[in-house]
Amino acid sequence: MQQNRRKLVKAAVVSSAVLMGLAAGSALAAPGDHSNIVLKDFAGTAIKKNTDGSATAYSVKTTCFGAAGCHGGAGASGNAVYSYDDIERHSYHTQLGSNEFKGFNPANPDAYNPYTDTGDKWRPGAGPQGKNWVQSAGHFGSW
Amino acid sequence: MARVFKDGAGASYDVSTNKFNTVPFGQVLVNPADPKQGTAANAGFFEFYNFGATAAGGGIATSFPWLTGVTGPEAFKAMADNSVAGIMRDCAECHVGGGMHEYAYNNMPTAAYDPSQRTPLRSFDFTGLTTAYNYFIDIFNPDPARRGDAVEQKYSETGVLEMDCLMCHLKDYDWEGRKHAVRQGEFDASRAVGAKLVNGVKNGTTVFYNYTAVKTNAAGELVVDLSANLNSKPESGNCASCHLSQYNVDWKKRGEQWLPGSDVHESLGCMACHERSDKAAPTVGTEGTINNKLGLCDPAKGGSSAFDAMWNKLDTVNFKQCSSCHEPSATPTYATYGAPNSVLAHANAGLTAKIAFNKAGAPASHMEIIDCTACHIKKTFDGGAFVDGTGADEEGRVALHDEPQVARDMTNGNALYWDNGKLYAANLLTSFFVRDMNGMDPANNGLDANNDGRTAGMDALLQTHVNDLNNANGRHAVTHAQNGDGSWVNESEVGAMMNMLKGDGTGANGIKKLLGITDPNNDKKLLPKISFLMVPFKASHNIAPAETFAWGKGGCVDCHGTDKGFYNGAYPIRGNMDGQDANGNFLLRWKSNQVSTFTKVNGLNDVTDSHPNVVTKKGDRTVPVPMLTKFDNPYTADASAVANQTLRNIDRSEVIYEQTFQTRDTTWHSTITGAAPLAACSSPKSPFYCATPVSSLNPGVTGEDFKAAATSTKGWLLKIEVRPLNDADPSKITFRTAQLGNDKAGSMADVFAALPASFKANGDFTITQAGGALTITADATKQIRISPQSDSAPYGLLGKVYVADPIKRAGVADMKTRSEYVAYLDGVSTSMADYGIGIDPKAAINAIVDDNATQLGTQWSKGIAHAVTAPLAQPNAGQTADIGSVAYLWSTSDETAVISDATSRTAATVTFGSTGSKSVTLRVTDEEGKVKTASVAVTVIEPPVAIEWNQATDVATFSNLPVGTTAVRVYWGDGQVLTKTSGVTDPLSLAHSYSTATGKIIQIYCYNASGKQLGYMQKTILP
Repeated sequence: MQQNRRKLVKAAVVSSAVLMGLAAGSALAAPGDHSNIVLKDFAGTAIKKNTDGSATAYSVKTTCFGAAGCHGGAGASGNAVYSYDDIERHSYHTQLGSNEFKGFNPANPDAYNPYTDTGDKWRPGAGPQGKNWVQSAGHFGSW
Repeated sequence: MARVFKDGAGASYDVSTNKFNTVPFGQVLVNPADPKQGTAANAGFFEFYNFGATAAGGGIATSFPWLTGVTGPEAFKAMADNSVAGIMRDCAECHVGGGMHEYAYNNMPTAAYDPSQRTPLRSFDFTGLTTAYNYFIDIFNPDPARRGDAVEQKYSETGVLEMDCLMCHLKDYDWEGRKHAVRQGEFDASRAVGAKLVNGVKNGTTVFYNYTAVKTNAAGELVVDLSANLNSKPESGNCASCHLSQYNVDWKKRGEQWLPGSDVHESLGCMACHERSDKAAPTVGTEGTINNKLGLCDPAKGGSSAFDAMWNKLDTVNFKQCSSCHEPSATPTYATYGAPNSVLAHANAGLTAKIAFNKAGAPASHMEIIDCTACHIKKTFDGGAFVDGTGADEEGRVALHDEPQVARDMTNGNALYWDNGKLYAANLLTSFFVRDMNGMDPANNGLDANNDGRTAGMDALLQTHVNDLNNANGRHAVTHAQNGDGSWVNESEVGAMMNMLKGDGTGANGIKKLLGITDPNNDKKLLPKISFLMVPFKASHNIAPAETFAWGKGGCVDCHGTDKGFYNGAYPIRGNMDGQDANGNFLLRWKSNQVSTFTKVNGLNDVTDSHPNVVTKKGDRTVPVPMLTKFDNPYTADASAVANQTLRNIDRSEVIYEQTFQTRDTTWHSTITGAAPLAACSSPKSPFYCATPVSSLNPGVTGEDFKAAATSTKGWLLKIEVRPLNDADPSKITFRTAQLGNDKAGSMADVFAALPASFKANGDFTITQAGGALTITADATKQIRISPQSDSAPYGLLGKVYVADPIKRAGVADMKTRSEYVAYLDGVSTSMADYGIGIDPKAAINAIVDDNATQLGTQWSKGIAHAVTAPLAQPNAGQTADIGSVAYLWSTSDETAVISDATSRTAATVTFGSTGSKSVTLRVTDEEGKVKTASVAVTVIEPPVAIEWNQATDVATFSNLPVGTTAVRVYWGDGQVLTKTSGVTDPLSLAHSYSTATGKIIQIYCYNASGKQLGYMQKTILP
């Protein structure tokens, strides 16, 4: 019999107000104009309401990026010059091992030379040994 | 995770070089069961592994013949646990999207990863394919009976998880709502849900927007105004949704949570530390390949731990360490938020004095060998203690981690571990799961208990399989609920689980059915055991205000003493399941034959239930941490199994010090002779295969020799390092490796026979076997040693890899064991003065010799070594040694002077090679870094005239006459004088008889040809 129900402490989110206090830069408006953002679908087409009131879920990639004056678009400045691809490809929060995939059964005791620090240090290590299913050093491929 | 790619798998073995080579993408092993057969070209690079290739002769059917003819989903269910598609529904509740959530990487032009060659999942054609990308095990299905189903994920219906910027950049993003959408496979919709722009979801790609938040413009296009809620710098609340709260990411991964009010830095926000320090002029990576450039939206990543491997090149890049704000070495170019400088506080606590020792044994301060977090973290709430892999949680995730019983009160929950010679704070999180001990080859009735293509290595069962059986049999994870006897886990519960897993062994039920294996006679024995893996995950947050808590704040006594709880004291491994009932039964218990140790380390010799990357201070050995109170080996009869076994609440010192101190023996040899391991079947300590382990040691016990499958010898690794004779250049070291392919080696002769011929005889060495022992003989031009990667114990070579390494400290006997060393640490003086702290050293130079007392000042002869010594700079009461540690360093004003033993207080010498005025300086530096100096002045001269008198022969010998001396006058001191104007040599011997024996002063004057006096010396002699 279950003695205690698992409870997700939502306090962390609810009470994030406590954390916001002096969280640097938090209350400042983003430098660009985000007051009139046209929602677009994955194809880049502006979204319109269907007759039943539904509408296509918006795409971050086309809504926020690419158009002139927007992120990664012509006329962008500062950090806004970076495109969706620039950011998505090079972020450990997005890649989570996708960009360092090793393949199935990756263990190799001879993959690394400790005396010259050459080769792949991960392959002879404890992570992949005896675990064929561990296919990368990150989340994708490990679980 | 389910296999993603067909190519790029495994390693081939080059018999000519005795080396394993990673199979690159674009290649496949000719025969995965025999790496010696090498590789062949694959049809493409990064070809998806198709679980649907079950036709006879197809990929699956070749390697897994028992899956011939099944459907793709059936094969997927039999082989896969989690998958890319599964991650998207499960773990991606906290993932921002992008990467494999959005793109497929398939059939690339080259073996090199290129992000520009990815195909959007949305448009990828999976027709006819059953892959890790488009199938998942439906563990969250509302119907528990369906939670083992292999389900197709159609991205045209679900959409994909693009990188959702708003998850970090939108104030009050709805993490819970997004999680719900992700769980349902409503991927496109999840973005609108998280942004709180919807009233409902129609399907994965379509939503019902909240048309108050979402307006319609004149063109009928939907528009939003996010200006009030967007933040270029993420607020802590956004990070907190995934990282901070109970049971979320950090709890799952490290047993950690951080709560409001628990960290002194909280008001500064996460980005105070995690904002990149080069923000003013950032170097932004965009290539998408692994390098050390943070991406635009990468928070700076904290220090690496030995248990984290993801994108390690980014660890600490532009990251603010504690010292970056609190003890900056230069003027910071980043915000430090008024961080108080801690240098003085640490110095006052004696933490900056070099009274400890680093991994090389040299004096070091506590600050140098202990990380800030080890002393400054304080928790007053709970954290994760266990991840129970024997069943699912309430929601359906196939491991239970989010219930109070698998947690612990973290007030006493900090431990320590070493990383590169430094101590870090850690949460000890223990996972447990079921494994199969049958390690035999398929031909010898081995069982691939998780269909990963390998029978050996103690296969972990697929947790989806365990979960499936639990659901079908009304069972749960073993820690799910308390049993009637008050225990959380007991012997009968575990036994019932094992019976469920085994079924009748024929494949009609149990794990074998899920694996697709039919075994009418139950020849392929499933030998299930629970294993426990404790990992000391680095703790980094919950920093207490220094005014309320810090180890060492109260002085040395805070840590140094019995059971203080810093480096010693019992650690609550059992957490909230600790305790015993009135009968002495543990609330967390099992029988000794229901569990097995996690692995053996240090040459396959030392039992451990913790991660192999838990290392010693030096880092060259694993610290084995056995936690099971008892586990049976294959030789133990079931009747001898002992109930009421549990995990030990280990002492903290066990994670940082091994029981007997050892280090790697780096000696090179021309010949290495090992020892003969115990004979097969003679003892559980024999490494060899034994066909009758139980009956061999338990006469009369029958029917249990199936346990022989757990004595498989498959996979023993032997790696030999080779170098040119006496060549100390490490870059010249080469290697030869072999791995035992024989699962039934019953003797060293069998092992020897199974090693490749090229490994036993080659240009580097030869190997022979006699009397059960191996002998490795290097070529005459080479030297050899055993690599620590080797499984040296079963090869009888353990004694050739490691040597005893006692810890040496002044004034105490060498300490060989953990108990001796901990007792020493417990008993060290806790008075800082006893270490010289607060005492200023004094520099002084003892009186030095004068080579010419006839001259004012101190003269030293050129070219002669002169001893220089000093008194103790910080003498103890008995004047026998320095208090604390003092470094002595001699130097001179003449850079060309030769100083021997320059760091010795008593044995240094100085030799000047030129004449003139010089100085000799002593610099003393104590453990606190305080420096004092002292100097003496000398005049270096040509060696003066020397006078020696031989009493026996009545001869005076004069030497070192000044250059140009042609005449001398000698006054004998008895009134007589000798003048010699020719035949003056150097040395010059002159006889003289004295009439009395009283002391006489001999004087010599030296003149050149012009009569000018060049030199003078006198000496008192006894005739």
